[in-house]
Amino acid sequence: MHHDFAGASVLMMRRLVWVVWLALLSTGCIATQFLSRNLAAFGQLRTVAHKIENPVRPEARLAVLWVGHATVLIQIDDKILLTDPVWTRTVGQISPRLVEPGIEVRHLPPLDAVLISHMHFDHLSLGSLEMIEDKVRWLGMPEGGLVYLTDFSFPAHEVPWWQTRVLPGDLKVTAVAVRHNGWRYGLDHAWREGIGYAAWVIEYHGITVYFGGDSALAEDAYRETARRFPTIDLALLPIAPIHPRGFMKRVHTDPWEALTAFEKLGATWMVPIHFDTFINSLDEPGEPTRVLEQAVKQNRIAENRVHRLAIGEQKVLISR
Amino acid sequence: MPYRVIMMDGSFDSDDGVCRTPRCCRGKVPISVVLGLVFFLFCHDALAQSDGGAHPRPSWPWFFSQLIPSPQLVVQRDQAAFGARWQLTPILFSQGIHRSQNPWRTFVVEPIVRHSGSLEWFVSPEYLALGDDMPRHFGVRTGLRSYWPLIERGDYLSLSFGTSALRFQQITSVAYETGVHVLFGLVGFMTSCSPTPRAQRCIMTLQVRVF
Repeated sequence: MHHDFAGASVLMMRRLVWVVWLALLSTGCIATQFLSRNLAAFGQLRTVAHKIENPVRPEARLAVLWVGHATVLIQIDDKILLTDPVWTRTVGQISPRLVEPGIEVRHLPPLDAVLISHMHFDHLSLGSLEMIEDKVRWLGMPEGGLVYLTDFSFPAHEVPWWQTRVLPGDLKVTAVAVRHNGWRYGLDHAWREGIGYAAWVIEYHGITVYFGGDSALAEDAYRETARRFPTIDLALLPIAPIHPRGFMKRVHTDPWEALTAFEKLGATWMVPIHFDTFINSLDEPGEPTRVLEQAVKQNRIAENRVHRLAIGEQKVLISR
Repeated sequence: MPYRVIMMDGSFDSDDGVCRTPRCCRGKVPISVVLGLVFFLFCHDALAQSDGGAHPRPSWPWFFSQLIPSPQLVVQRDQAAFGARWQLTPILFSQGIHRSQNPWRTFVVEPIVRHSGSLEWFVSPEYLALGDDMPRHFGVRTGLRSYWPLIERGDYLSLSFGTSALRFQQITSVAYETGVHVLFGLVGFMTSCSPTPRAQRCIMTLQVRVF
């Protein structure tokens, strides 16, 4: 009797899983569509040709290299910074990388600061931090972030919004407000309201860089940031995910909103980030950049102010 | 060969199948009820707080997620039966958490805090469909379990090893268990085997755990 019962239970569970899965698919559940797209993308990693092997440019005062998604290698004179490092093949275990990272870990120079914008798997990648652990001199996290870091050999500190950390050589990093969320697993949302996410402003030798991380349109925050940092040279701004807009609008800027942020921040240049690396939306491939080009034209922004980089591409914005 | 199984309430069971619980202990409040009461009071107190602090604390979504059972298959001698398990963690110490953070947790444990390396005291109400008497299908397990991170500090893959005592159908048995956990601990495959003579069984659990 028990054998029959166990067999029937397993059969019933299998059927239940299929019924739930089909029901979710047929009702257009967003999470199911994300999952289906991600599962279909496994094994489709695109390579990056001619990766840069020596990213430190002696002739540059300000240079940026887009590694992919929100990972950007920033050089300001002799200081090297890295944002939201992700080198792993997947994020959150079920979302595969679509394109190789734009630079190999072994070609990274020592990193004066690594900045984490928030706790989501595509921004705080513990496996990636393990890969670069011996290169990191300091890691900055938003308030409430260290609980998800686990223990590493490098020093790491939380920086609350509007507070500045002065690092060796007078390199300054300031966490600034944005509009996003600071949970990692979902249920932790209950006690992580208003913490665990930030944008960063980097200041060194008179050059100022804004790293937007991931944010919904936050005009008040941009205005306050511009008031405190009136001469931002470069803004690294997320332009995706776009769709479904009703859902994404609460936590993500689309290209149009990214340009609004660019304008409110009063930055000289913008480099778009956070697109075409992982599947976290219903966007078509290439859609964020197409919409961005359209928005730049319609907003009559000079094309040399918005630099769209390919993954692995480096741009020198200020030369010596 | 005659044997005795010592029970948690001080009584013992023998091979003649008669439970010799002392008369003075009959009607005693079971340990699971006491734990449940402590848990409820803790949750009620914490849920009533509205300070918005960053400390992990029970919330209603968390509370309801704890009701999700983990299905089990129990094999005992020539029988196999369906079962289910729920999980509570009264105390956990994490050795993987960042050195600046409090390593202790009670009940609510962030997945990375558990799977980056930790030792927990757990309590598991269990349902095992062994025998025909429905009320006797419920038991309670308590024990110690350690977690060891393998990939992504345990977020992607971790192992667990533990030992526990299961009080079921008036027999207390000891069990040793091992498990592998993926998807930040959301899904785990665990096996526990009990060598206790009158309760020799192996249980395979598909663990579903949200925090």
